[in-house]
Amino acid sequence: MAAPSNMRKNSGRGNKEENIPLASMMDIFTNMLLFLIMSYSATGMLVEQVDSLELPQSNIDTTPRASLAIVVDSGKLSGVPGVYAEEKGKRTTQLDTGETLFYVPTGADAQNPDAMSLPGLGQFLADRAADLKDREAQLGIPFDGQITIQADAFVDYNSILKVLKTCGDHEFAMTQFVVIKSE
Amino acid sequence: MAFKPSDKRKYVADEAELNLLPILNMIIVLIPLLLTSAEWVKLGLLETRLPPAAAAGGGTGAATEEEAPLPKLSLLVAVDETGVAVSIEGATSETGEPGKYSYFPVKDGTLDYAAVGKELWRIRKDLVLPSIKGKEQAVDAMGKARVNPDGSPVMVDAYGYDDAETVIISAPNEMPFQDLVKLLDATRQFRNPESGRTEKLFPTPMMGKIN
Repeated sequence: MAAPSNMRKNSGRGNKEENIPLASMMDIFTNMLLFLIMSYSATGMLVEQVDSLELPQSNIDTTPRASLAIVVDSGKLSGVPGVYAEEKGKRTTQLDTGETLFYVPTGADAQNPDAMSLPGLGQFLADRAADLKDREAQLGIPFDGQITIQADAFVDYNSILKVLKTCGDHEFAMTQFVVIKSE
Repeated sequence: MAFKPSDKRKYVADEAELNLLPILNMIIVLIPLLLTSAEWVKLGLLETRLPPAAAAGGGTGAATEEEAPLPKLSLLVAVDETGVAVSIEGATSETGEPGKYSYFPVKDGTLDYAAVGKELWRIRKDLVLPSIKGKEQAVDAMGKARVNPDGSPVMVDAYGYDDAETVIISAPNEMPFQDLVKLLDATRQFRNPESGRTEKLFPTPMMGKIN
């Protein structure tokens, strides 16, 4: 009688169930799951950090709220200083140049209140205030005068004051700066 | 004659294995979901107010026009190149009134934020907290009364000072924003080493410039 071929002898191997060891994979996934649950945010990112902008660190514990947003950039990282309108974490239009932003009024100009205003930002805020008031009249969504400012950690105090004054002059009295929370 | 080996001896019990596949499936669905909603950088909002001259209306108290105006604390934190001065009620280095003016020189190249916080806590503990007269309805920066989501009024402490939660900040033109934020942190809350608690200080900063 002929001996069975080697192929037939080995064909039984395919029927045997081979288990992949899942325990180590489960360990990795469980750790990942715990880590992700810790960094989970139910509200999502209401405010997104703009690229090429180093935000200051603070121990404040308030959570961001969505509102009209602008960016004040010292140009240290981006190379293009100035004031920008912001939408969904992106700069949209440049409102004022770095030259206007960093100008420090001296001498007789120090007494001129307009020297501490930013004209491009002022025009933008005036337009937005008019839009938001229209929305209030038509839809009943109250205009609360809130504005969110993403200012670079290297922006100087004089520029911050200019931005605040311009916001106040155009009915955006509730100014809030975005910071990175630190422990 | 040899006995036939027992069938029991041939039987090898299978190791019971948990079926991990459903759990694995669930985890594989959960991980992308959590990845998309994870907050990698925790952002916060630092509220500020405008310099008093530029602020339109508003005020920290809910006092009506009929009531006598409350006294002002006029808490000022003024930074210069050599240090930081904390004063109340318009006191200056010239007047030198004890308890109303303090100066903290720059320490190791930076402002002494800890000393500023300690001094502000002393002012709040000795002057502001004893002036509390009860509760009153809170108003926002626009002067509107604040209400809870259920429509009930938001009640806050009624202080004996008109500007009991306000600190006026003055700094040199070239001071970087990061240093300003550190100063604002020091004026907002103080970690009390005695009680181990974080004490509220002056959460409403008004930024201006003193020439």
